[in-house]
Amino acid sequence: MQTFLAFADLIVFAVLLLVGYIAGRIAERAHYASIRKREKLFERVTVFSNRFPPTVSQPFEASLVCGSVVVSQDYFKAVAAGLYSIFGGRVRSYESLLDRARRESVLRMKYAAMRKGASMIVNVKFQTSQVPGRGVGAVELIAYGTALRPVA
Amino acid sequence: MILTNIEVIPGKRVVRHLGLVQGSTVRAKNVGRDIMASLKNIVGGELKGYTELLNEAREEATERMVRQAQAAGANAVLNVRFSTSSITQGAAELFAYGTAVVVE
Amino acid sequence: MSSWSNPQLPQEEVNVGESRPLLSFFVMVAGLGALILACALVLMLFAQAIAAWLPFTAEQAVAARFFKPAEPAAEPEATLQKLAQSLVGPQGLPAGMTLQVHYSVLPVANASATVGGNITIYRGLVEAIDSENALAMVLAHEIAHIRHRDPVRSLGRGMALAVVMSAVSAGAGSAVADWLLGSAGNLSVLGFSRSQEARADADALEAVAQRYGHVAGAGTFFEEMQRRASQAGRAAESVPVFMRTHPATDDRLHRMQLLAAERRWAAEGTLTPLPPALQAIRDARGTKAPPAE
Repeated sequence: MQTFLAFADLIVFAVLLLVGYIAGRIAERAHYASIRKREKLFERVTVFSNRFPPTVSQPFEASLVCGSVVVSQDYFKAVAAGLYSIFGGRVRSYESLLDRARRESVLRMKYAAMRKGASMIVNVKFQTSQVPGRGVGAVELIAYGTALRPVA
Repeated sequence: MILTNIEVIPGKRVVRHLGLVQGSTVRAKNVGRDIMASLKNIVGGELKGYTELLNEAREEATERMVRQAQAAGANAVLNVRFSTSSITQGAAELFAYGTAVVVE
Repeated sequence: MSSWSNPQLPQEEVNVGESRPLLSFFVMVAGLGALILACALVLMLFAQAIAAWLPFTAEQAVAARFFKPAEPAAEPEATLQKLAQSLVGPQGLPAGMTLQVHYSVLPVANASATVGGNITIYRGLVEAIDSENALAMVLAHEIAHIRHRDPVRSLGRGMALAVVMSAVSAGAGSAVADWLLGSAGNLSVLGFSRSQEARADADALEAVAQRYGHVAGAGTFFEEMQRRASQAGRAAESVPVFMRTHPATDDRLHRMQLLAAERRWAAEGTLTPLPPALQAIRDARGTKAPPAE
């Protein structure tokens, strides 16, 4: 019991690490599955980073659409990132996190466009910013663009 | 693969638009580089180590974007944009995106 | 006229580096561990070197707070103290250094030196020897450790380890510190390096030669320990404590003989009997419960 108390901080650390790893892993897998499903679902809304639609002659109704998501890392990813920042190099634990988040923001933007009956989004731009706050590792990703609804 | 940050390739006609492609990578600098950089901070000037690191990372992000464009069947990416953002203390994301197209 | 579409991208995730999270995590943890270990070693060497510059009064203050002799007994202490003083030799101890010899009734056959000039002789040791010469050798050995500031060097090394460990985990750091300065008077289990032991042996033999004019009987205690160890065989828990803290007795006896021959100290001579107070302890050994060793 004594030794257990002496190393309580290490044990708490290990438990958090394990919980973070398992929960984060399950969540990531589920999220990727959902992303792939919705990407297929929203396939007919096309997105471009060009300022103008491929066909300028057709009349469109334009409106601004936006999709945003705030993601935070799990405990395991955070500790791994801390280690990467000592040794340098590619922070693999965050790459998948941001990839997921960015695709999620695009999907939300597409969803907003679909609700407006739009068939394409042009001039898509992205923005990433760190959410300020002590002890919270969170990043906001925004995707925004102009949704175009063909006018019959 | 043609990359431009304008919306046309002069003299070429876009046959097909394939939508958005993106490439990103997250990089951390190591402690040794941090220490050297903080020393360099005293006198100012270019932080060569960081320039190199970010350039290399940006190249990788571009390369990933190109791979996605290739997978979509494109032969050019128009309107390419870069963005660099800090994710946490010591880690930065390099992000490149553009519109994949097929040109003649 | 150009057409447009958003083809479904293949399942390959180009933006996610090929990732084995657990593997790279453990590789980095191992790397960090190696870094910490290297830091600890450097710090320990550094602390060991600078600890010897600590004034002896500071060492005594540390000892006064943390050192408690195990199961002390007052009566033979004066005799041991007198014998120790006589072994200091004509050049004496460095200025400000004092010796305090303690006697412990614990049956372990051992002697120890720790910070603040504290030496402890255990009952088991007194029972294992048959002459003052053998006891003098052991005492002089411990005095030599103190003269060379070996205990405080070990303490410095241990504290450096505690500091590094506390950077890893507060619990681990305080566990190391507790073990060092623990309530059980663990100051006496500070280990010494092999070169420190060899130096103490050489100094002790010289002190014995000066005091008695010969080195006969000086190795008695070591021989006795060796005999017991070989009797005990390979069973680790029955090996005398002395052998665990002072390794390679064979080697030491051999080196002592070489040194005596080189310095032309007489190997033969009349043994001085144990002082009466200690002889009484030795005589009483049969009547008490047999020692655990």
